[in-house]
Amino acid sequence: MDFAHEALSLPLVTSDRYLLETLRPYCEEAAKARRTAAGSLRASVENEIYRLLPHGRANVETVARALGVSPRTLARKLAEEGTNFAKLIADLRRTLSLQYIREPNFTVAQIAWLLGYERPESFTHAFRRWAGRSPSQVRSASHTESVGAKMQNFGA
Amino acid sequence: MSVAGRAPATGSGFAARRVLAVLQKRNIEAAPLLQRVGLSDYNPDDRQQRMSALSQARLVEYAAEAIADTAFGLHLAQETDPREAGLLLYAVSAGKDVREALALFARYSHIVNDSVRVAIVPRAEGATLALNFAGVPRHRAKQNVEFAIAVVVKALREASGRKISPSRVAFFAPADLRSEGIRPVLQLPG
Repeated sequence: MDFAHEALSLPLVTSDRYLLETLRPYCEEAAKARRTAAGSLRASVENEIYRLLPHGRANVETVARALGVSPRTLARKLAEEGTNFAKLIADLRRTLSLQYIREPNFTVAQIAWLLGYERPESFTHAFRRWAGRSPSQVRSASHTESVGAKMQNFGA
Repeated sequence: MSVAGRAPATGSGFAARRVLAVLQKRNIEAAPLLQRVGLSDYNPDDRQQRMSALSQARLVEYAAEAIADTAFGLHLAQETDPREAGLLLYAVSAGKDVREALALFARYSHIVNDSVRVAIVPRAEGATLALNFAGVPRHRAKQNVEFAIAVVVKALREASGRKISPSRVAFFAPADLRSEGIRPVLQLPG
């Protein structure tokens, strides 16, 4: 869902800095409780990575800080869950790339940026490794399937 | 992404409570639908009770079928008071502007539903609010996703006092998994 700068800059008539600062600790606590209840640090790390990927800040230090643990503790706890930070980033990038590539409005450069790659070539290289084909090949195959499905819907 | 070994995502029942209210208003028995999605024990009056996010998404889908409304999620949002989202809504509404409200939503949305992943992606012409429902198959998520999108827009309109509309809404789903009605409901341009 895209919002233009003019919409993003609109002030809220309900804005209340004091209320926000009062609610913030409760929100943090509730969010932390959700992480605990979910029983999996991995899910919380994935949420943070998802949020930080497009900004190129999805590194272990930033995520650990957001979750209120040290990078070392984060690594240890992920290991207890049988995974590690690099694997989670790779898995999430792969999953998201396969979603984004089916969205015709996103260019390969935009997808690379959304996934936190500095250069489109790095994304293309990684995508080939995951999908066995280039982004444009997958996109063109996806378009053909979609046209085929539409023709079927119209009884062609 | 593998979800093996992971506790299932849960929601606060925000959407489910609205669904039950609408079913009751239309004299449609909710019990068979709740049973079908594994929520027979659900008590909408218990605000502390969490439910499976997948079950909630399925409940919204089955209610749409029972009511025969292909844009049920959108219509449900129109009848929803965003304040029912509780703490999340009050925090988001206290932000300085729409930009900060979206950032707060991204940070705290899983208080209401921990299957939702939210990212704010800056773009040259503004920003994209990207929503992803982890662990909920797309064919079970259409009404739930459209409900979420429409409630977010409604909450922003109420908090800003302006008829805010996204400049574009895109789905990572085939065309038959989205409602035609989304354009007029959200008053999208073009």
